Amino acid sequence: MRQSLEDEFTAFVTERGQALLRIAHALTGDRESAQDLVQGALAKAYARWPRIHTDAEAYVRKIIYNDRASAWRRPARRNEVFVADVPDRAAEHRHDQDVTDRLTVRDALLSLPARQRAVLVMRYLEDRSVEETAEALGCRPGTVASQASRALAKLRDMVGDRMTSMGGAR
Amino acid sequence: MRDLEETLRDAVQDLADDAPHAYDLAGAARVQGRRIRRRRHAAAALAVLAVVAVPFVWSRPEPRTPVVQPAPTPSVTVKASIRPLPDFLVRTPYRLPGDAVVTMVTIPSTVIEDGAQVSGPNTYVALDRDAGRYRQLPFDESLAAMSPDSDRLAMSPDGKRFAAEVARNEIGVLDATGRRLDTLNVDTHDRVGADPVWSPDGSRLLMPTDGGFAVYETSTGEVRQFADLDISSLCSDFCSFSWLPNGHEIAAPREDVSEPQGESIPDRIESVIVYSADTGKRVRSIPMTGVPVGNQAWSPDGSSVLIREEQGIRVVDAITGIPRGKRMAGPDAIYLSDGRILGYGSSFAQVYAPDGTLLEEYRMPRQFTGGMTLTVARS
Repeated sequence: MRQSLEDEFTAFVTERGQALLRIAHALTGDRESAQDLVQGALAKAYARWPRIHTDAEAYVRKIIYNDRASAWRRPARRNEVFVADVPDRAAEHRHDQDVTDRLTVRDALLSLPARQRAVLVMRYLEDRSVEETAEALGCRPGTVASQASRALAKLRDMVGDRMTSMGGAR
Repeated sequence: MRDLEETLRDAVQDLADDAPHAYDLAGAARVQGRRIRRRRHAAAALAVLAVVAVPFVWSRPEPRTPVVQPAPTPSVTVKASIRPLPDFLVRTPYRLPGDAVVTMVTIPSTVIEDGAQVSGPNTYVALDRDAGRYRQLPFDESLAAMSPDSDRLAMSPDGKRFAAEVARNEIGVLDATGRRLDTLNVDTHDRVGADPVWSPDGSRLLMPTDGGFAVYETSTGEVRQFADLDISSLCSDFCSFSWLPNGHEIAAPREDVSEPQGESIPDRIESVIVYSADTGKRVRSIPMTGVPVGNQAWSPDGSSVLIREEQGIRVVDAITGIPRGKRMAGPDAIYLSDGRILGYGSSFAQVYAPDGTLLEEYRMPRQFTGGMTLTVARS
């Protein structure tokens, strides 16, 4: 690869690497898996850099989301994080209650199927529209909407009874 | 009181905030990326040059990087009566045994880049069926953006249209003069072999995509996209799609996800999934352990198919996937009109009975050696 393209790749990773790791960690909930996911996506991007460098970020994000969903489908690679030790009562103070709720939701989020989790991460971390999410995940906007709806319903089912601070959630 | 969505937003942010710090991501990605490139080169070389130990060792090029374990020699008997085929001449169609004809010769090149020898642009010499002679396609400039490591030019059955990914997510449809007939913007699939494929009658172009597949209609210029993420995410390393003889169904390989995965391990094939090219719906699954070797790998009556396994080419039942005969040499093979099979590479051609029994052997002219790829069709 030409030196100018090599430099461009390095600059891209330097500039966007941390943001990509944040997405990957939100998807996996595991630091090592996140690192592997981003590194794998960047490696694929590097292998095709002359072709994709003008639209590198979209390319890498798409690989991250799809590789995660694909990895989830492989039994041998399954890396699910199951809900464990969900706090069974909220703390007495408001702040403590919020923290407890967030931890509860975080655990529940990590137990969702990868594609539903991907939809929620795109919508709630990246603030992507339904259309943008559909484009990145390679599905129809209707699928995104239904996955998001199912995911939220599941979250409510999983955490609703245990969250004292979410009166309006159900 | 906070609602679920607000708490969810905070929880997702918390998760993202807990991400590890990026440490030499570029360096590690570079090492892995170079490995992917080498593997692509090797897989492409494997597909077009030599999958198995064909008997013509005097001219057999070696893949630059071996990626599979040494394969057992297929059940091909080396016979003394290997007949030489005549030299290739551009002024007449080059006929192979049976009713096959060479429709295109792809000639690779190498260039020096940053002091290293790397793949350069290909030269394409295609058969003009009307004129009954070959012509060099003026595609050097049009296809300048084509990556030499994975792309192949797809020629329509009548030899009048050509398609290739000319830029990221951009498939160019050209005529033989290099005129751009259409530009198709689809999210192309990033796997070796995931190239566009013309339908048997040349009226449609199948394009593997990131989200499934797309079909281009030449008569209307319409591109219909069919989404099924399983198609792309579960496709094997060598992700080559093909049309069934009926022209309404397409086949996509699916890897065996229960097998160990890894960069150095070629994906095992579990099945081939047949989809409707009209509706995008999954029609059926055929259990098989290899990838169909292109459109003409399907027997004209649709009852059997030639698949490429690690050890060679094999005939299997197109409904049950059960092997029907002996393993044959590769890397390429087509069904002849009379039901026999032509296996060929750039240095040999072999005619087999429908059960895989070797009947005749021929040596290609030395003009084809040196990494050239032959596109062959029934005439």
